[in-house]
Amino acid sequence: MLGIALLLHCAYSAYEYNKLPISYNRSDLLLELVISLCLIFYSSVTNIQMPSRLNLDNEIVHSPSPYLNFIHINKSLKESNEFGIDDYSKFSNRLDFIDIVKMRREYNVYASSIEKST
Amino acid sequence: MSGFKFDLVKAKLLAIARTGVFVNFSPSKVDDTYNELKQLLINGDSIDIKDVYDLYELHVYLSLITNHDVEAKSYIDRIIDQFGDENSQRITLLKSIYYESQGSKKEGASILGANKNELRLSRRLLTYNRENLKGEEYVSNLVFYLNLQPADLIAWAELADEYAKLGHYDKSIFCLKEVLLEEPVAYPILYKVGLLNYYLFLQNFKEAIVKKDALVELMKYLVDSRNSWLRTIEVCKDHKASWLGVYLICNQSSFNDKLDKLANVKEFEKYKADIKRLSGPSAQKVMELNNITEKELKTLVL
Repeated sequence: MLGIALLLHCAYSAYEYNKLPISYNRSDLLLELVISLCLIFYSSVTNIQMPSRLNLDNEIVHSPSPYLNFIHINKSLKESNEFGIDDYSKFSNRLDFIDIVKMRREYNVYASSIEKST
Repeated sequence: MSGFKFDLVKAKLLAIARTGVFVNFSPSKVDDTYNELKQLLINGDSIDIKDVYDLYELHVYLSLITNHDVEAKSYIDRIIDQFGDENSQRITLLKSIYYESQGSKKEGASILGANKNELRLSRRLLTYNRENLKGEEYVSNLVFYLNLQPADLIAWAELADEYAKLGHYDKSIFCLKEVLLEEPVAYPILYKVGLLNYYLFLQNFKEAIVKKDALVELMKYLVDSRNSWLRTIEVCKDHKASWLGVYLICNQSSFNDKLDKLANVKEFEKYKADIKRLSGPSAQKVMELNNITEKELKTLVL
C-alpha cells in the first residue's frame, strides 16, 4: 500500500514538475520512484511465499522452494511425493469406487479390538 | 487450537477432502482424521464458505466409515439445504453411498440414474452389488464400461487393480499403459508398471528353467521393470521404492547365475553389462535414502 501511495505521489509530483510553475528537485522524484517500486516488488515477492504445510503424519513440511514451484519436473514431483498428496493420487484413491461397506466392516473390527484392549 | 495450527490443519483436511486420499487410510488414521475434522468444524466459524462444504463432504464420508450415521445424514441435509439435491453428481453420489452404507443398495443404485454423460454416477453404478460378484464378473463390468467410456483414466486404474488382484499382471500392465498414454509423467503409475513386471518375472521364474528362450523371456520382464523404475526416478527424483526395485533387480542372484552359465549370448551380455553399471549407484542411493548401512542393505536381498 505504501509503495502504491508513493508511486501515485511520485506521478502527481512529475505532473506538477512539468505543468505547474513549482520548482522541484528532479533527483528527489527519481529517488521516490525507486523507493516505491522497491517496496512494491518486495511486498509482491513476500506475498507469494508458500506457507508451511502439514503432511498426513501431522509433521510440518517447509517447501524447499518457498516462492515458486520448481521448474524441473523431477524436483517438483519429488516435493509432492514427499508431501504424500499430489495430482496423481486420484489414480490410487478412486473415490467414486469406494467400498464403503468394507471400510465400515474394517473399522468395526478395529473399534472392537480397541474396546477389548481398554 | 492456535490460529497458525488451525490454518495448517484446515489446509491438510481440505487437501484430503479434495483428493479423496482417505479412501486408503487405515481405520486408526480414519478415526484420527474424523476427530480432527470434528474439532475443526466446532471451532470453524472463520472457515470460508467455499471451503466449508468440501469439509462437510469429507465429514459425511468419515462419519459413514466410523459408523456415525446420524451425523452423516445431518451433514448431507446441510449440503442439500445449500445446493439442492438435483443436478449435482457430487450430492447424488453422496446420497447413494449413504443408502449403500445403510443396506439400502437398491435405493442407492436407483438414484444414480442411467445418464452416460454423468461420468461419476456411471462409475458408481458399476460398483453396485460388487461384493456378490466374482472378481471376473466385476472385471467384465469394468471392461464393458470402458468400451463405452475409453477415456476414463480412473476406471482404467481400477481395472488394473482388479486384474492385479486376480494375478493377470500382463493385463494389468496394459491398463496402466492406457493411463500413461494420457498422463505420461504419472510417476505412481510408472512405478506400478515396474512392480507388475517384477511380479510377472516372479510368477514365471522357476529354479528348473535353463533353456535360453525361456531365460530371454524372463529377462524381458526384468528389463521392462528396470526401465519403468528408472523412468520413475527420472520424473520423480529420489523415488525410494524405485531405487530399491532397481537394486533388487541388480542383485537377482539366482537369475543372474543362470545367465552366467550360458556364455556368449548377445542379449545376456548387454543385460549383464547394464546391471553391472547400475549395481553400485543403486546400492549407494538405497543406503543414502533409507539411512541404512551396507550390512543392513545386504539383508534386503536375502
